[in-house]
Amino acid sequence: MHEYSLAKELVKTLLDGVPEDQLGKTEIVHVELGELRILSKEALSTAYGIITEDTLLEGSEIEYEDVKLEARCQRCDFSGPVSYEEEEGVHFAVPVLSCPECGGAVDILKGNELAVRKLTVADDDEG
Amino acid sequence: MHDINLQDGDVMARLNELAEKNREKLKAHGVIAINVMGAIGSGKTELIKAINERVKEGYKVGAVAGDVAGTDDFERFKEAGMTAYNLNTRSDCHLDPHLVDHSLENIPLDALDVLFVENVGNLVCPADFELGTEIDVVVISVTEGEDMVRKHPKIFAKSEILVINKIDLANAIGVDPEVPKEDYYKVNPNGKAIFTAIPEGKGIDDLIDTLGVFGS
Repeated sequence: MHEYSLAKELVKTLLDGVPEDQLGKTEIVHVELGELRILSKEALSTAYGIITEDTLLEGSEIEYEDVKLEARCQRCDFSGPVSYEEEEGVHFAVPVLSCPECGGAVDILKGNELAVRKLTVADDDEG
Repeated sequence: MHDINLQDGDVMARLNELAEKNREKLKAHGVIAINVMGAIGSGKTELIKAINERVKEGYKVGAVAGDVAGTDDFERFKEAGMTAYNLNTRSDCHLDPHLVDHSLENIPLDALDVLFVENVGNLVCPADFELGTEIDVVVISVTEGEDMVRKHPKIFAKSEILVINKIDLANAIGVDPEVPKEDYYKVNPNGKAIFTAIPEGKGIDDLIDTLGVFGS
């Protein structure tokens, strides 16, 4: 259960990065969530709701956009999605962190995200 | 309603910046740090002590004893003659770069070559935080069962080394240690799995070689 601590970081990020007049009008916080993050969306949203009580962000909600894993091979030219381990014994499809072409070690290009890229805010005349 | 874009909304980037500062601080003091993750009772502390015992003539090894509460592991490191810092998270199930930064301020880095950071006792949460360490090691023990990798695949996919510990107990409890090893290589073909048994010293030299931070 580390969603609460990351929700606190998320709220800090918003308080630091969004002008105050926009914070109070925020309705939806669009969060990119990478496939490699081990986070429960439900727990993160619940924590966000608790942390933002009595703040300008109270009442706003998170909408998630899932980001699939992409990697670049350190050995060959491959860059793109990796393969997945989907054997019955594994309880969900697990990305395999190696090059699907040559088996080499990879650098992660996408999949580690926990990032707010945009906010949906009320127009001035919406009160 | 309308959308506004956010330039500095990357939460992980903010945390990773702190982790990078930790990495730079360690580097400036010539210290290599190793993040050791694994369940409570998997043998993290004893493994670190066993490594220290074999390298202590040539290297000064320290440890951050990260636990929710108590000083048990800290005392074990001290009794082994190691430089150690006790880090109680009080409630958190993982370390984060803030806590590691705090530890680095309280441990004499100039007196160390290698610093092990013992990351509480959990196979989920620690995997989501960069600390500024160079190598990620996960320790499991055969007493936890054959299916540890299948139950927590992501932490294993992300870690360079898997230690399968207490191998001397495998027959007694009817666990085949090859099962987690095979599962590990499925999700992490470029990692290295090592069997260890501390009472007989099995695998410790292999682990030291694989860490690659103690020279030859």
